[in-house]
Amino acid sequence: MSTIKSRQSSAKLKALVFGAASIALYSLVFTHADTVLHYCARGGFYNLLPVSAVFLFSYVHGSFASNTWTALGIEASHKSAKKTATKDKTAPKTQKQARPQVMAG
Amino acid sequence: MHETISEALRFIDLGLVGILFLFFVGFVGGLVSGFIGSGGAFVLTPGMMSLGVPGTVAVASNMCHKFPKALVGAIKRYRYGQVDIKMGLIVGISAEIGVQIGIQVQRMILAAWGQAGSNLYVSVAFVVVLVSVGSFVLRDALRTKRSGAEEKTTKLAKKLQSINLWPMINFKQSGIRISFWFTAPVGLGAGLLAATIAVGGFAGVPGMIYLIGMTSLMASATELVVAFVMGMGGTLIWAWFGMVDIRLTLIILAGSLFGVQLGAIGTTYVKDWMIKYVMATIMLIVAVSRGLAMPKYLVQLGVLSMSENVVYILTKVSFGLMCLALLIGAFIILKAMFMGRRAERLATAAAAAAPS
Repeated sequence: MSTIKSRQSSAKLKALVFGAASIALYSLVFTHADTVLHYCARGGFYNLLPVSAVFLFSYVHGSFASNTWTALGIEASHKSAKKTATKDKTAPKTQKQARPQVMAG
Repeated sequence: MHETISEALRFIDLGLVGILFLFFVGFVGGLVSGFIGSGGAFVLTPGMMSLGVPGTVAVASNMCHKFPKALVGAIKRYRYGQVDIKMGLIVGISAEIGVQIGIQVQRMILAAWGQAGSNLYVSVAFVVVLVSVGSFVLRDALRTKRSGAEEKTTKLAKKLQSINLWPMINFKQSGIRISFWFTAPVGLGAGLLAATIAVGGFAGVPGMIYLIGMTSLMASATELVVAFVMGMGGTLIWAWFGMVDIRLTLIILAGSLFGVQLGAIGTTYVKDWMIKYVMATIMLIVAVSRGLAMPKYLVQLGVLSMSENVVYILTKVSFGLMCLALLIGAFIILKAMFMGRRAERLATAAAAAAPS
């Protein structure tokens, strides 16, 4: 229980930090919407601008989202966590046929 | 496809209603994507167009949100041990080729039959693929649910896996060994479908389950890698022509990054057949929706005669049904997740209360 609580309180702090960063990024873009839109739609090698922008937002806003769900107690099933830890593979492994051994005598 | 539109006409003025609509649809679309590996595009693109966004900008902006959303979802599901990166990359690269072929087919149809003919082709493709694949997947899901048994590899997949056709590839994460020549067509099909109806996952996920032999959980998770590869490649091309409205992309992403992670979490509470069930339900409702949109294109082509009012009503009902498909999918996912979490909490409480 204490592990869950400590994970949730750590997630709350991270959600606040990433949330603030996300709000700052969105505010920056939308207060300069025309300029940002113009450069992202300029074409040619400027195509890297929108791609870079979404990578940045995915990291910041994605971390905010992830930590928010954890802080709210919405996490993966514990059965799934155990499964990942023990690397359970459902498909049978192919077995090599044992070579027949010739008994001496 | 890459028609020149001046910047003033390309990018709409965004109001509060439009922002809220895109955020909400982004969230729901992300939830469905995180769960079944694809979804949302068939509502987002027409949704943006209903706000006045030109078609190419809607497709480009949607694609620019799709690949980072898929990346975040794939990372989340990779941590649950559900993603086969090797499979995703091979299928994704083949899908890119499929997309290019699909685009050429679209261009030929557009040149031969005009916009109405092209729209009709897209709608026919929607209906044929979604009805045939969707009903097959639904039947399979219900059969597995009724039997109570675990998901089994199909006979076809076992047969294809047994054929030694160089190069054979070992997919350790999935526990599958299969020829490249059976994985590439799955990618090609997904890419072709993505170029036609904007949702490649409706071919990719069933292809990975029934032809390659992956479990539903792994196929839907791996599809996120495919979506990432296809989405990033497509975005670089669209952005080269200046078609991405980054504002729309970022608003959708604001919602979808929450949704996709919730959908990914949801997969850990359900059995494999639930993934097929949600996918099939959405596919069949969207098929009906597209079927209702077909009379409009038949009227435009002069093949059918119908009053303007009836065509208008059918078009609105069609769009409404598409939104409903996404909402129903989201409802099933959230309900399954709620019930799974409740069962786990009760089991934990019972274990804690049991005498040691």
